[in-house]
Amino acid sequence: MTARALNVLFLLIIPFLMAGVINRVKALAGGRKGPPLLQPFFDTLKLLRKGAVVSRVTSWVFAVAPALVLAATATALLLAPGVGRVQTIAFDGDIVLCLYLLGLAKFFQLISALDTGSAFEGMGASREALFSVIVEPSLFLFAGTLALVSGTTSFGGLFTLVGSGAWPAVAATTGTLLFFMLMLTEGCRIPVDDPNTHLELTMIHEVMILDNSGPDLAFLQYAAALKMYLFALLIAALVLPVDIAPFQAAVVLPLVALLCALLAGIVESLVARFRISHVPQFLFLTVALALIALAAAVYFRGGAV
Amino acid sequence: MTLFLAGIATILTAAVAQALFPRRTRVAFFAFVTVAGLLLAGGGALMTLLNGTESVLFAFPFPFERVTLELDALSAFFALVIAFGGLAGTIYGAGYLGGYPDRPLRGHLFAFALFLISMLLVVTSREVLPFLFAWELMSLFSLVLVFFDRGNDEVRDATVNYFVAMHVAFALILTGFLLFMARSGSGEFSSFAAAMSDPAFAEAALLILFAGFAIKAGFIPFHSWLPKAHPAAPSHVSGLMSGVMIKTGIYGILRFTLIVGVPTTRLALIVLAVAVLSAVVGVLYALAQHDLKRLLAYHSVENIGIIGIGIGLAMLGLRIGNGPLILLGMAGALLHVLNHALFKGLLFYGAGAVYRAAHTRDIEKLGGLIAKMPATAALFILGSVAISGLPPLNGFISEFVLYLAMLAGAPLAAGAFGAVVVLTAGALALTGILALYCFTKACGIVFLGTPRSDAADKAHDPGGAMIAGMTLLALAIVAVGIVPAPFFAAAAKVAATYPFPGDPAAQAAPVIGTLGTVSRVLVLFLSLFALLYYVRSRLIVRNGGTASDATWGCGYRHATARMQYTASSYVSPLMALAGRLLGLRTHLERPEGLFPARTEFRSHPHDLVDAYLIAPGAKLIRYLFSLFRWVQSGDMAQYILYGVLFLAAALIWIMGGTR
Amino acid sequence: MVFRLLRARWRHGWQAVPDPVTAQVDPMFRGFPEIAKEGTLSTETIAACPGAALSVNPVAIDLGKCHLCGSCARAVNSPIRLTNRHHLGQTRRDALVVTAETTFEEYHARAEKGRDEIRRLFGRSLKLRSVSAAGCNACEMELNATTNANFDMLRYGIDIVASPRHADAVIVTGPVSANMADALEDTWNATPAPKLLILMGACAISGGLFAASPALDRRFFNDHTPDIYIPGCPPHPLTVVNAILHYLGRGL
Repeated sequence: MTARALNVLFLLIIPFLMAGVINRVKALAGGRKGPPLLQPFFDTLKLLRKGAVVSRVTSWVFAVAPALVLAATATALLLAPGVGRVQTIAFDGDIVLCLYLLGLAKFFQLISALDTGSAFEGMGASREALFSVIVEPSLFLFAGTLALVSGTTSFGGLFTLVGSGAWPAVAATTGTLLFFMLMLTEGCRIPVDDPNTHLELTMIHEVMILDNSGPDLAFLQYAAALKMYLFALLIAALVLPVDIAPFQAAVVLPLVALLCALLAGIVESLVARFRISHVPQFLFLTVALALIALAAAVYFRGGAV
Repeated sequence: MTLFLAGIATILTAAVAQALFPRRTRVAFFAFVTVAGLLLAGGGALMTLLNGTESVLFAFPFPFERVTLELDALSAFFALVIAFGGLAGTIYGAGYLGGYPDRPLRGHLFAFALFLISMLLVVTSREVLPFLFAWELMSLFSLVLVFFDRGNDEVRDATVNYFVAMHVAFALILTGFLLFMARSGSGEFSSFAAAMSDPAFAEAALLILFAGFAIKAGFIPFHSWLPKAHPAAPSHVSGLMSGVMIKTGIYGILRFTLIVGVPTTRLALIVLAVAVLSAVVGVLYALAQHDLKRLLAYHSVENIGIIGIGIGLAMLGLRIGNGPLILLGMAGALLHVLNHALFKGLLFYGAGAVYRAAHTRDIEKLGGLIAKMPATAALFILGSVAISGLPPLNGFISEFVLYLAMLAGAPLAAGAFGAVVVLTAGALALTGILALYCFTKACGIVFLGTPRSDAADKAHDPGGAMIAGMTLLALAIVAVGIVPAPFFAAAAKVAATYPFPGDPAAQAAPVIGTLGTVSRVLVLFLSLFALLYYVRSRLIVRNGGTASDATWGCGYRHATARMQYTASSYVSPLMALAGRLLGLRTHLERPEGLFPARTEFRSHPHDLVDAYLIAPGAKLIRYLFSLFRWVQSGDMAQYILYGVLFLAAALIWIMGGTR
Repeated sequence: MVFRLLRARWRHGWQAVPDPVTAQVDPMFRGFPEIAKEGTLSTETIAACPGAALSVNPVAIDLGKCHLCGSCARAVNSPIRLTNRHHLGQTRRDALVVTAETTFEEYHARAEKGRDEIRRLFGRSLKLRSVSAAGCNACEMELNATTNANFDMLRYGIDIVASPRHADAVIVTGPVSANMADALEDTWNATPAPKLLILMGACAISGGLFAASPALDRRFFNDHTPDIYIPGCPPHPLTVVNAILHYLGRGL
């Protein structure tokens, strides 16, 4: 019960902190003071107190999309392994519902962008859709690989790495890399997307929400931060020891999430954004990682062919 | 069973009696009686599904002699799908046919009713001859239905193509049956199990049979007819063909797997491979389409692939004794049969409403329809979410069960089979996300944004019957999505009729529990959504309300509808990656000079199976026939010579026989 | 590769201005004009003012028109002396007029702070959408500089965003030509309430050098009252940052 309460509490705090940490790291690397750690939180509070401007072209799709995107993402997060791999809600195959809820969020994010009739937003939606096409199979391949070895179908069991030989180490390594890359991709960070660009033609995520304002914008930005936090949670579930004590987990989990943000910040400070036509090559790496994990799983699992 | 037969009789009555009614009331009468008949037939199937197998034997004169109609769990499940799909299709069709007041429609309605009846007979026949008879009736009457718009060349070509494809399928199925009959010596399906004594023979016979059924179902590379016939048919027929009729191919595969069994693992892997290919390539082709109904038709290929994945997994499970793969693979496939009937029907009907309103199926000429036809748009978007396999609608439930089959089945599968299962999960994920890509395109370009043509600007929602037919399907989609447990239980009951390691009921029970949890989570999600939407709306009102403005165009005021992102540009990043794989042909006239007068860019999706399999095949056949062209010279003397030669030959033969 | 980057970073050191609020600018900087009580302006000096910012009886400079070029200060016997005080932001148009009595402290005291609810709303987060309405790019470059490593306006939660839908304030540079009038209007309408209007540079405030040009269309300002005026040609980035901070109640 405590773990579940903590999960929900972290859900409300850590995503903002992660975004804050990334910006702090970038500021430090750039020799600037940079925005405060809590800036994403301040921005959200402000947006919730602002009015909205809505395009005459848009329909109810545009109006419901932000709330729907946030609701779907938040529900997905409730299924993810949290403190001590305890999920707020757990059942067989919860990983499928979790990823498909994110898919639902994506669906409405994309059609809400197309609802504005803006060429820019269509362009952003098109790019976002393509990148998802490449990363989605790698997620399921990796999930299937974990199921293959663990014999369970729920997040908590899947991400408890036990097994013979070097399997836990291999799975943790490939998985961490995979989820880190996905965190950068789905979180719209460099090298896939540049959250700081002001040129619409070079944007991906931001250009899709170009027409959202006020509370709607706050919802969408919070949902994007939640998605980053989800991948941080998955990384934490892979790397933290199997038998970690609950209260230790409660302390370590936020640290791991913030460490992920720190690394994302460092990547963002050192690397330039890829040319958009080269991003798919980067993303195919995630598929390769998932296939490596699968090959390793088959090898370490043994048994007759 | 009595109820079921009464239903068929009622539909038959409708088929005949409608011709006696004046044109003004004909369609309404027909729809009313047919709906009643379908309700009866569906009710009968439902009772059977709940109570157990029922059969009835008819004695017919030669050549049938005996005709058994049987409703077991599998037949009842498909009969239910046909009845419900037919119900929505009939109601929608009654509205859709309102657009053709000057056509008598007698023949069309007759064919429509007989088409429904023949499908019900296909899934209940138990002997070779009645089955083939019903099968052929189904093909022929659907052919009549496709050939509705007779003046149109495209429709005529599609009809001919469909005709040929259906008869190739018929020939293959017939060959398969004959092979089985050669072993069993009987035309009763139940005797076919005898062939299992020789697995290699059974495998070959089943493969031929599967190829025949795969043409009907539309698996790649047997799908060539499908994306041509579905757009050519009027929309109430497209919906039924795509949602219901092609499922009879699936039924055939399931029926003979149930009777004969799975002779070899190789067969299971072949089915799985064809299914994965159909799912992934089908949806890729769909993405490349600009024609709304063609796009939907390719999605049928994709969804048949998803169903096939479930069947392939179940067949693999049957070979390697893997409980979750059999139970959940089969249940997932069956659920998807039902779900696809619901959402594909809805989407085709939506596309039909769009076509009726805007007189074009070209996505690039549509746009902004959500303002003009709000009901159709909302229903189409609902269907799109469902077909993309997203919660909280029905498409998610069947894909969820399939994933569960793979996640639970993989660890029990030895060695490389585990990897095969995991790779299949990856392929299903790829299919799902591509479907999402494709349907965000379909919804976004057709219904959202601003109208790209005058016709789209003047569109309006269709009348009550069409909306009612679509709403019926939409309600079912929501019901299966939010309360999936009873539907899964029904599918699991069918799956349990397959030879099963362990107790199927005991294995289905936890999944029913899981689906209960899923629906609770979905209700939680929907409540959270409602709460957030309420909060957001209150906040905006409190903060000074919503200001209305143009879409932000970076200060540019003269944006036109033509400047919106088009369907082609929306999918162009993917086509850059996969275009060559899809045979995408592009044509570009480069801008020249400082003030280029006109430039042009066109892209045509091109089916590789058509280009490299069907077209050369047709060419070869044409060549072979051309070798005999001298036979038909048109010269009367030559024909008389044929007659004389024939008489002479006959004379010699008879004389030889008497000697 | 990474090591080269790290070495470059090491050499760059710490570039941010430690505290933009108290920071002083170079003594050579031409900032707030002080007008002595005695002394007169010759007609040539007045005619030489490019922005027609000078007036006599009493001697006054309208900072909304002044380009801080210093030509009046260089004239013989000029009562005008340009200090390097750079906190020049104002909240009313008439407050920009500096007379012989006006000390810098008085001038600065005229600058009002935003209403309480505005300060509470935007105090920690203010997003600007810039409209370059036919500017010469000097103001735009300085505005850009406010977000660079030195001035780093982001430390106060003030940032420049791409979409007016995401913005809380529209910051205008340039004299607003007829061709940009619609775009400015659109941008303003595209910004959700509550919102601020900030004018940056003499051109934006008064039309500046181009005030008499027929190519301008400044009717936008008939309907919309700016909240912050930032005089200069172009204004120093610190002037910009401090004008906004002062309005938000976070400055001097």
